[in-house]
Amino acid sequence: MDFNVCEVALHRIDQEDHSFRITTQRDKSSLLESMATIGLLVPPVLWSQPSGLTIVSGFRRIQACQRLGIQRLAARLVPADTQPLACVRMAVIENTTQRPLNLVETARAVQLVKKWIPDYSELTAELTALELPTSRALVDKLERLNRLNRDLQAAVVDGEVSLAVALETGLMSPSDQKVIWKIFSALPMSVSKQKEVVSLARDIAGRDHQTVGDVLQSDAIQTILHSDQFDRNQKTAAIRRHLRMVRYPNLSQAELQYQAALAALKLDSHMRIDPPPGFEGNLFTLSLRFRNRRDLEAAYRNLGAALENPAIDSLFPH
Amino acid sequence: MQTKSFPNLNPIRRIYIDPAVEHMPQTLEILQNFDDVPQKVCPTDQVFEIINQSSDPIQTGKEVLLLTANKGRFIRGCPGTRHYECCRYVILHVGTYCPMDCAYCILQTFFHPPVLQYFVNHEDMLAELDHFLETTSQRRIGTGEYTDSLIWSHWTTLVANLVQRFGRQSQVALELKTKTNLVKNLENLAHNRKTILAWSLNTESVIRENEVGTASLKERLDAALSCQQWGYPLAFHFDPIIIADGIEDEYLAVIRELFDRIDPDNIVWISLGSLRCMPPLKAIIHRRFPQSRIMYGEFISGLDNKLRYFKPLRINIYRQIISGIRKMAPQVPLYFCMESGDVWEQTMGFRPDAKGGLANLLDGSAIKQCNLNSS
Repeated sequence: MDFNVCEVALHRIDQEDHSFRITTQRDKSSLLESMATIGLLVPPVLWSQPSGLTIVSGFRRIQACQRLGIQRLAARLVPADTQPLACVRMAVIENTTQRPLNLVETARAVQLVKKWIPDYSELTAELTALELPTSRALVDKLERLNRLNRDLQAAVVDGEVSLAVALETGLMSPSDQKVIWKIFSALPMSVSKQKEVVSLARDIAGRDHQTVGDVLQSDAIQTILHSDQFDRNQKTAAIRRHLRMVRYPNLSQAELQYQAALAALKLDSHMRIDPPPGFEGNLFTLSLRFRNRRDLEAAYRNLGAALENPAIDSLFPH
Repeated sequence: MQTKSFPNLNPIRRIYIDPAVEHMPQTLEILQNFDDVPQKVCPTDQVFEIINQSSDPIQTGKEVLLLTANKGRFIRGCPGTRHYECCRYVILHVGTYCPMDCAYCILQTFFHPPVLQYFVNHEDMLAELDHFLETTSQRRIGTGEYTDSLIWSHWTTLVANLVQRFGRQSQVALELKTKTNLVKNLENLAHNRKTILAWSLNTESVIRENEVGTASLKERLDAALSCQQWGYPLAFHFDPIIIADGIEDEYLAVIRELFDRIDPDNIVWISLGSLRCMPPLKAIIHRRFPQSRIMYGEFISGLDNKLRYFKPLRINIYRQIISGIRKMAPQVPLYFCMESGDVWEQTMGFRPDAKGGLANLLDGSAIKQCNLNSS
């Protein structure tokens, strides 16, 4: 592409137009320091338009110029008759050659390209050339990510929430989203736990003709959230446990009964008997930890006593 | 040939023809039904690519018809699992996928991509079938595992030809499983009771919410009654049984409706199977069938890694359905599709092993009802 490298006045640049913006980075302190010390090394790319100069790449550099009081700066000017897709390519390459794009940046880049190439087979070729993802499934997910609100996008970029959870939450009503994020901000939890909470709440809501907000604002959950007796980890555990019991009442009841029967056997803490997963098969697992012969003999006696205990039959209801 | 219009089926929007089968008679036969549908000769890998790249491959796969050859075996064993009691069914592989749209359909994730395919190399199929019928000790074979058996009778003479081919032998019974009422072409065929017409049954509410484009329960039973009057033996499959509040009464109503119309003595078998699926299907059901509530049951991960209802819940609904059937048809052979021995024991009162195995039980019923050679 032909550039005309020249000096332009800052006020001619339309800083409100973010059509080509890909970066999610907002922190300019390091860039400010660098530019204050050694100046602008790489001129931004600007597209000459009748209304002014549209930024193709260099959003952060131009903002830094403004903060440093620089009124005129060097820029690479793209001619006015340049096709928009050519500017898109330029924006993508300028970003991808600087750093690996995060998910939201990738989503923005793909969306920019897709805007000008609706046909999927042509789009695939273009995405391949730009080294962007081409899988249809991923492109669709990125498109959905691009439509999420900024808070959710930021949570994905910061690793506070997985793409899957963000996309699932993004499908919910704004009021449901608000309830979920209120809980997640009060109780920071791992991505897998967030996913579990969202999935359980959504299933309960679907089964019981409620909203996700209704489920998560139930008295039981609110009591846990506002309890003075639990720390944040305990609250998270209690909420997950409660949701699981509501979602799987019969399975939970069976687990409780099993635990009660097991407790009645008074097994040593070094010994455990696990039921078949989901109580589906017939294979129970006995595990035992011991250090020496004396431990093993004690475990043997303990297990023998358990076998004499009538409660052991409750472990095997059928 | 039956009328071309069948409003319940998804419309076929495009037909792709594998260059290798472009001039085969079966290709020309089926194309007669689709004068007004765009047709393109196209290698199969390109067709798969087109479907994979569409925004919804599962839906797109139902709207195209790919005419191609089955390059593998036409006759193969059912992909059962060693973890549960399997009936060792044999599949006659005539095509794949289905233009109807059931929320729980495993074919949505079974094929990559899912695509409605019709195998037109019938000479190969018939040669393999002839050899099978002459040499096998198997008693049961069906076309309804990877596709619906009767949708093809709407467009081709395949089903009629198979019925007549099986009518000329006495070793194996052919089972045609369907959710349609496309039986008109079966009248006046020399079936010799060697073809079993089988319907998947469910409650009206499950059909309405989860079986898009299928025949209603009444239409299925009307079709079954017609086949009974034409002398065909029948079978029914309560599969998948859905567990939800109050649904037991709905299943009992279906059972009453069934036996109000159908003679129990003409039923070769009735199978029961509760909903089970690989975990990825759950997300697909949520996306494609947002009104469906079938995935809100209490599922555990089964021994075969499929989601299954918690075992006591399965046992509970099986007992009620079995009791309902037994009241009206004490002698009808019942079996479970992919259930554990202890579920058999707690609901039927025995394990299949105690009676020579499930395959043996079903073979016996096929021999009796279809007048197969007993040796």
